[in-house]
Amino acid sequence: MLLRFAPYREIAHEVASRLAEGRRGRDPLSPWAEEVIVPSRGVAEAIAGELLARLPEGVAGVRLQTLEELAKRILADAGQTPRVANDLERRLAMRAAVRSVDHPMMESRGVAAMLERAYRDVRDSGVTLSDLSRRAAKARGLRSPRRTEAIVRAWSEYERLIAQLNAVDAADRLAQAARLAGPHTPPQLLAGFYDMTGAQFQLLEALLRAGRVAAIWMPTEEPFARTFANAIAPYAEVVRDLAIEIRKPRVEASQYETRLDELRDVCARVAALLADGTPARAIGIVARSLEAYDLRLLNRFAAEQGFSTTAAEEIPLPAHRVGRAATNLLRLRERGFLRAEVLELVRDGLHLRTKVDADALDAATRRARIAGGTSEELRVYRGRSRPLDDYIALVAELEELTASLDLDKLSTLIRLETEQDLAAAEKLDAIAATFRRTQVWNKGLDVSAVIDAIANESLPQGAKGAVWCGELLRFRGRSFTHLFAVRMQDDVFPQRRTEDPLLPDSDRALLGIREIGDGREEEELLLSLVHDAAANVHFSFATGDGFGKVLRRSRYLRSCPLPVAGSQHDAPPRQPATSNRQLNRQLQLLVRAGTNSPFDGYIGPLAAEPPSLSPTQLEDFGECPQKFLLKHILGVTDIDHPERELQIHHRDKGILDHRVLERFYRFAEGEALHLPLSAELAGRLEGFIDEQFEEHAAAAPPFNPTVRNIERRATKRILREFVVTDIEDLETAGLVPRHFEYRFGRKHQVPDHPEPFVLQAAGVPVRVEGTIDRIDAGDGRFRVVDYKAGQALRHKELDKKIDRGVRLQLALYAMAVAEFFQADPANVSGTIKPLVPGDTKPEKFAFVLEEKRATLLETLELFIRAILSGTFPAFPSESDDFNSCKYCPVNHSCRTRHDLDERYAVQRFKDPRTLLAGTPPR
Amino acid sequence: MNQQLSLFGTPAPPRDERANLVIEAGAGTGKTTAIVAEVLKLMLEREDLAPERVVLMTFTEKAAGEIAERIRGALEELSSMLSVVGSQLSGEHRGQPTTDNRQQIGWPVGSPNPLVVIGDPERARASIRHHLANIDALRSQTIHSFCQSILRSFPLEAGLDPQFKIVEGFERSLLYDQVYEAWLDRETRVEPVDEVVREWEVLFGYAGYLFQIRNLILTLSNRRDLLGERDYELGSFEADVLPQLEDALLWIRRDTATCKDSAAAAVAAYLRDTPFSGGTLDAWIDYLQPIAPSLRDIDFRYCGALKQPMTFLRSGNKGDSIYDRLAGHRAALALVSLTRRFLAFLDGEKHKLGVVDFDDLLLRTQAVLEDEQVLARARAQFDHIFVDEFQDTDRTQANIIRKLARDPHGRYVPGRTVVVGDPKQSIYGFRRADPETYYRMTTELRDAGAERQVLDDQYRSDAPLLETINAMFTRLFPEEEHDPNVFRPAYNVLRAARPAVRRELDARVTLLHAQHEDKTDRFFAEAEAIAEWIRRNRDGGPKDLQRFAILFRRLTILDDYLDTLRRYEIDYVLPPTRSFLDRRAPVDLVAVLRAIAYPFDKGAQISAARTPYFALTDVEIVAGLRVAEGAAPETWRAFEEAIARYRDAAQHASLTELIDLLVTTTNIEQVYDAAADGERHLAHLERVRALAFEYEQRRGGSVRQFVDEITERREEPEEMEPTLLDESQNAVRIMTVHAAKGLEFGTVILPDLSFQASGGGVQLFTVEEPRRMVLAGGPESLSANFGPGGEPLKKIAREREQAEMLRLFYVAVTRAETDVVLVFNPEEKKTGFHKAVLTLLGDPSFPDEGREVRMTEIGPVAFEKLAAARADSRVRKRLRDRERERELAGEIVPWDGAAPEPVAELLSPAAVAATRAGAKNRAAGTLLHRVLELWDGRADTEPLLRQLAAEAAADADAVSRVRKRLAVIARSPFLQRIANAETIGRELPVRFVEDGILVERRIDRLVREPDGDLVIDYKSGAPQEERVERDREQVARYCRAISAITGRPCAGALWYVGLDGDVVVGV
Ligand code: SF4
Repeated sequence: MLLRFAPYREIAHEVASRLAEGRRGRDPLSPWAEEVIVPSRGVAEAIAGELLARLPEGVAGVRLQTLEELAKRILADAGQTPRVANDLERRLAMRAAVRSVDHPMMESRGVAAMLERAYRDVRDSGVTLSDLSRRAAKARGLRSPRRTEAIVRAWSEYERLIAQLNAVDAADRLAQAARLAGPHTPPQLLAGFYDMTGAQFQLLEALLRAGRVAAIWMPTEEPFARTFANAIAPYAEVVRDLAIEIRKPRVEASQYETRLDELRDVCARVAALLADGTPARAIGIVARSLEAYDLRLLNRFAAEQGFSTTAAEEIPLPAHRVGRAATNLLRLRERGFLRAEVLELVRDGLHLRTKVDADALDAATRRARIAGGTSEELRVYRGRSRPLDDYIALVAELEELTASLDLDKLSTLIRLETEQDLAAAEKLDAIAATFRRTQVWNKGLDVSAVIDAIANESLPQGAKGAVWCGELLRFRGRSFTHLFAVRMQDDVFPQRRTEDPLLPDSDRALLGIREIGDGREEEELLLSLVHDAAANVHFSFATGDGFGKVLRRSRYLRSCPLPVAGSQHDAPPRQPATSNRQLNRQLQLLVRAGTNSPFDGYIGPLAAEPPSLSPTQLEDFGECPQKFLLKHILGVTDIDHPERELQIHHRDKGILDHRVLERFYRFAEGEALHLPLSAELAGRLEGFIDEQFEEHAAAAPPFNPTVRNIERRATKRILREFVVTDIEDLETAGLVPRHFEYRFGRKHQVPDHPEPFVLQAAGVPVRVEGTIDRIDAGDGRFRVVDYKAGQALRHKELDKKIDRGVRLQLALYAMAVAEFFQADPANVSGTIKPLVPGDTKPEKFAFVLEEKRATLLETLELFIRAILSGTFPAFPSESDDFNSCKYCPVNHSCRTRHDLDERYAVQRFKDPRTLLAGTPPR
Repeated sequence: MNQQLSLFGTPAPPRDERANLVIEAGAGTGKTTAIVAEVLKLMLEREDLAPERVVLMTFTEKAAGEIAERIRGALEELSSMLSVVGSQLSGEHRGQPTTDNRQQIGWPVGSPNPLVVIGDPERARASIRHHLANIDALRSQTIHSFCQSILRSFPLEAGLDPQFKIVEGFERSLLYDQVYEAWLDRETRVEPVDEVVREWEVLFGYAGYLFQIRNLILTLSNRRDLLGERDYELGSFEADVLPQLEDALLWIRRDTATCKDSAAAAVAAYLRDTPFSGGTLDAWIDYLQPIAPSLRDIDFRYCGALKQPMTFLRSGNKGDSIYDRLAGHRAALALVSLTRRFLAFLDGEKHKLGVVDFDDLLLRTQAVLEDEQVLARARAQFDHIFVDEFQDTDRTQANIIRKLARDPHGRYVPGRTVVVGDPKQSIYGFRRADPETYYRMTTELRDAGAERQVLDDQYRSDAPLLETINAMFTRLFPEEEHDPNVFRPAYNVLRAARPAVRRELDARVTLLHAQHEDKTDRFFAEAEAIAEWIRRNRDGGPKDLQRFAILFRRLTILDDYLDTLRRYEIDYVLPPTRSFLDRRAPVDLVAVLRAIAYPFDKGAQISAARTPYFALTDVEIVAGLRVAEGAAPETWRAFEEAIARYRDAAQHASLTELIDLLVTTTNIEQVYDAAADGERHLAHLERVRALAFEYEQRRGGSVRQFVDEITERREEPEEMEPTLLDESQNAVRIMTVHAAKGLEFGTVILPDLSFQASGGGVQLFTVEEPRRMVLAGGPESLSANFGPGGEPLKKIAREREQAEMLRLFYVAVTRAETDVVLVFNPEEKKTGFHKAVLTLLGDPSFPDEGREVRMTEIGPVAFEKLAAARADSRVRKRLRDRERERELAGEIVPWDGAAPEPVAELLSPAAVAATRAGAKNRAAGTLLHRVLELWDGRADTEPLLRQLAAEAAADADAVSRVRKRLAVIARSPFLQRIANAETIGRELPVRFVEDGILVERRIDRLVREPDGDLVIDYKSGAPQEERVERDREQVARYCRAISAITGRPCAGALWYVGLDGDVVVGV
């Protein structure tokens, strides 16, 4: 038997011509004289390529197989078809085995995975568990004999569980094939191996002893291939060609700023090669390792350049609609039927008896502030509206469905519409079948194990293309005219492989198991193979990941010529998908935005005048005219997130506080309010608070009662302190609360003053309607009061803010009171009363109508004229000053707020009033 | 033993007991060169030393790469010099030790006083050859990657999954928030425990809102290192406050004097009338609560005899009181206890997910090294540790280094540790680095015999500038006795090692006057003064702007400066200033995704329409929503239809596919590419697409979930490494002083002098004498206000901030090569750098116009005042191509958007049902096909069936159904035909070339019949027309291949054989 050393290119050439030679004159369908064992698909395809060059019409029945495939055929011919345990079975078995051994090590996370990796190394070294325990008993100097003994105990339990599934380990199949290999096995040619595992070598040695190996080709004589070469030497007569000279390819290296530039330029250069006629099979893209995002970028940029690569992308099963629905369904009950997850299931296509419109339910449950809960917990919402009733029925059906989930039926519960959906359903079936098989020792449905199994599956995505693209290990044996070796970074080439914590290298040496070593030589070999595989090798690397992380050049590039800077492409070269006119319109937005254009809220005169304006609407306009346009003309409303509001929603809490204070002051109206607060009054105040909280809880039961009770007790303390300071203020001001929740204007069913407050602005009658929290009165003086939650920082320096037009509400209420009660503006004042006393002095929250009236009318004139002329510019402000964006429904996506230049140009006017008045900026 | 010259010419200590080394390297004195020299000396001395036994810890990834490269470069330089000398030697007498007359070889090459000198060239050459060969094994890495390698080799002891993943940035904040919500839900709703709920209530009382509590806890959890320390006292009520409180109460009750001040009177009345005999902290708080408002208003000047107790009761300034101090302490204790429990819960979740973040890397390494056995094995891994930027070390890193640098008896191993740093450059207080740790650790090292080396040759600044710097900082960092709580390093004078002066200047420090009539425009005044100064001082060369750097301490005030520079047409280069998620491109994309995800959110639809993806005008939007007639409403309808089409696509597309569809069908990349700062938009778009991809791979959430999560997360950009500056551009550099660390510029300009960064939000720190932990800036612990010596410890935080501000000033000024410009506004508050300038120059006077140089205590200083030339306000450039911008400035082009084509081809329900039917008895169907493939048609099928059932792990029910089916099929005519024909091959591999591509297929079964060959393909399920066409075409290709190979005709047959069907289709 002859052993030859030759580079992969020559190996493929020699093996193919030997096979073709042996074929001459034989029936093309008859079995081939010799079969070939290869280490990778790459070598197989290289040999097939050379073979088809000699037999262009095609070949049938030639065996280019791995050692595992050969072993399978040897066993099949002997009528044995043992089943190798799949990944999920091995994971479940190892987890069960870990639970059965009581040793502290077995508690730490990830120990099952560590045990699996170490077990794999043992069996791949061709060592059976009985060999191992014999050697461990004899070995002196193990790092921790007790730990090794516990490990062996876990592995034997693992093997027992696998046997119970009548499955075997892959190494068992190789061992059995080694026993069966004999004279009847067809002669084999071994092509392209420089190393193999102990288990593989056992089969090869059996073939060698039976004289069934006709010839061996090895690609290198480097030190790391020596152990393998020495093992074969006794059986072979070495024919050494002249030293393997790795043909010197033309090598160049290019450096890029980011990985995006690198991969985009590589695709551009591949496209250029394809354009001037280089066949796709002559071009390859290889990397030491390719992350999922590398593949995504390569395929995206390739598509932009009009070609596709063989690198198949995968999408994790839980990221696919069917996988996500299965995961959500499994977790639904234990997480308490959360609203968002229930609706996600409907949108992901769960088959349901209750036909529902997910979006309608979404909007309704948000408004009703339902965060989740069983149909029993939600019974209080029954009968309120159809969408809520549908939602409760939906939850009831899901409760029934998840009461006892049958894994086998899981894939039938979800709507399937595409090929990928079918593939996903099949994966779920396979998982269910495995769990059913392991029931014998894996009792009960462990939901987290199933979810973990789903998370470990993935689905192929996108079609396979022409240009080869893959990782260095799968590259062996292929050859190209042009090879692009990308991502030549240090962090992509792992420096030092860390030791196996269970079987450190020192123990492995004692037990005859392959050591991990640092894998440095193998890396050197793989890179030398790159040089051998192509006429032109283009290395490339990036100095940064484009997001601030610095990347270091791989040390293997040191032998390359100095890198030249790779060219940079910004936007892709494609023809616009839409018409040029639409591209111009899109660019016009960039050009005209921020120049008072139709893109900036300048929409020209509105046909219909707004019927009536409330002070809060006018205040919205004062803070940001565009917010007024969105909320009060286009009807945009806030979207609530019940899941995030454990406390009462800030709007509902405002209403609750107002109701309590109204009821308290109405009750206390008879008595003269003075300090200290009588026990009876203090008791009544707490009573009102309890009633309001109960009333709210009845309408919308709190998802978190503990937090609600904390809130209730805190409200009692805050309102009690507020009332004390309020009474003190009333005594010093000589005023008494006279009117509460004073409603004026037609929009109210029971108005205190039916007629709206009408004032003339910009030649147009403006009807103002609203509700005043409280009106205090005393010897001809009136004071309008507005309670504000928290410290009300947005209302500090109220009088200045009224002049600037960003605060109008209270001033308008004061004007209305002056008219309704025929009071002299000098006797009418207004004050904001923050419920929580901050360090701002009270007078900073007050104003006298007399001083404000003139500028107020001027402001209204300006605002009404702007509204009528359709002028609604956006005015972002996020300081404590008046913070217009804080409660704006579009603050996450408003263009002016996020564009530095537009924002800066507007903010230099300090407030909307000066912007609208058009005083030129500095 | 030949003598080897050390740095100072005194003979180096003999080889074996080298001492540990603390190198203090002032700014610009070549810190990296010092480390490289020490490593070289080590390598020259010990040629047997394996490089992987040397660990170099740096602060940044870039520095790690740089040091490794410079060591390799130095070795190569020395080896080439030695080979030159070697050849000379071989010519003369070999093997003799060199005499002094020959020229010495030293490194750095050509420097007047080399740090390393070769004694014995022969031995040096051997060790250099050895070290160059395995230089790649040198472990030059950040401390975080060093800790990572420790944890990966001791996973069991560290209680970690060895394949742990590091979670950072967007994903980390996503994890923290979700874990926080789950923890809060468990502590309050799922398993409420009274004592825990009480803590929540106390903190709620203090903070007022749950989201405020969340901010407090998440901010405090950044100080996990301190929260882990249990032996620091947060201040004890009983010891520090109770005695004085009881005295005050007794005093007021015994002395019946009255007070003029009404608040004090009300307090006195209450204390006298309401019985209370003292008790716990809670009891006192409840007792004092009713009179809290009065306590805060006490004016102790009018309390007469009760002045002393009243002063105590109203401790602190007006608006504060002893009640607030006690309630604040209780809230502080609650916050610390809640945060500790949150961190425990968080660790449990990370443990389950097998993830760690950067803090964990340090904390878990510190914890695993507590295990003596692990520590011994870790110590055995390396002999030498070099730590760079040691002044930025925090307590955890210091503990780790301390453990590794010692022997089992706790003594520092001589010669094992070298730390390099400059305490004056410790400016990362906000990242837990505290100079007190630097002082403690370096003192420990030196007490254990470490040598102290001070580098004072400065290679950066021109000599005159260096003189001024020396004068400035000898005054600002005076020699003073050591304060254990606030480390103030003394200044050491630097020598100018740069012979040549780069520029001839009359003064190296310029005070540039900047003052505006309207006080609110102070930043404008500074910006115009700077712009005018640059305009006058640039020499007009092609790269003349590159030497100017404007260093800020806050970037939030940048807009006025940028706007002015643009108006003066001075280009600038700017690092990212805001979270990239708040920038143009990510906001636009998420706005469109939100409109797709939430059809009922009208605000989202409008915002999406206003993005450059669709570019509707507000007129079209208002018309579309039928509020104003006139303008065409159909544009809005077309937009709604396009969004609906994307919504359909989202049903069957993954998040990444949907985004790709959006980007390609709306041409947003072409739009951004045409924009003026298009490059930045495209980079941000790529980053948010990468974020979406990572989110999908790791979390698998839907478009809705992604939109919700990303809106919540406004992750601040981590400090960008300064290397990303584009060298080529002729532009002024703008960055923070922190980002400028390690860089140098010709002229440094410092604006916004008076800015004084306050702690901002809740702060936790420790004090050594007295040994206390202090919580301030949120709820304040008693230790903050009642230090045992009586003075409040929270003032130490302010003192440390002041000390750090001076160090920041030092770092800023020492970036300059030729001169420094201090932008001085006389009316500014006397804080921050402004205060430092006043201490140096007193209150400066300025000429009316122009530059006047005066001699001052710190040397010549220029006082300059420039009349700002009012530049016309240039319209901002919107597109790269000015011409196109002009064209598009006119009439708005009509909308011409298009809806995308559907993405996924949907299968008909029938096709789906057919496949799924097969799926139901998938196992049985596959088993049947396996048997048919291998069965010769005559022999008994039972053994074959049993053998293949084991291989397919088919259950009993499937086996019996196949057995029954086989009995029927045995009689089928097609089976007889196969049985009669001669079987050529089963699962026969066929390879052929089809239009240039090498194809490999497997034929289920090939039989030979008298009139030709027959390819048989087994199919499951019933023959659906959609499928038959495709299957037929596939088998036809096999037949063509076989007949090409054999030269004989070859027919094909599709056998749809399953548990119910048996149909043959000829090809
Ligand atoms: S986000 Fe701010 S700027 Fe934009 S519309 Fe709302 S309030 Fe106005």
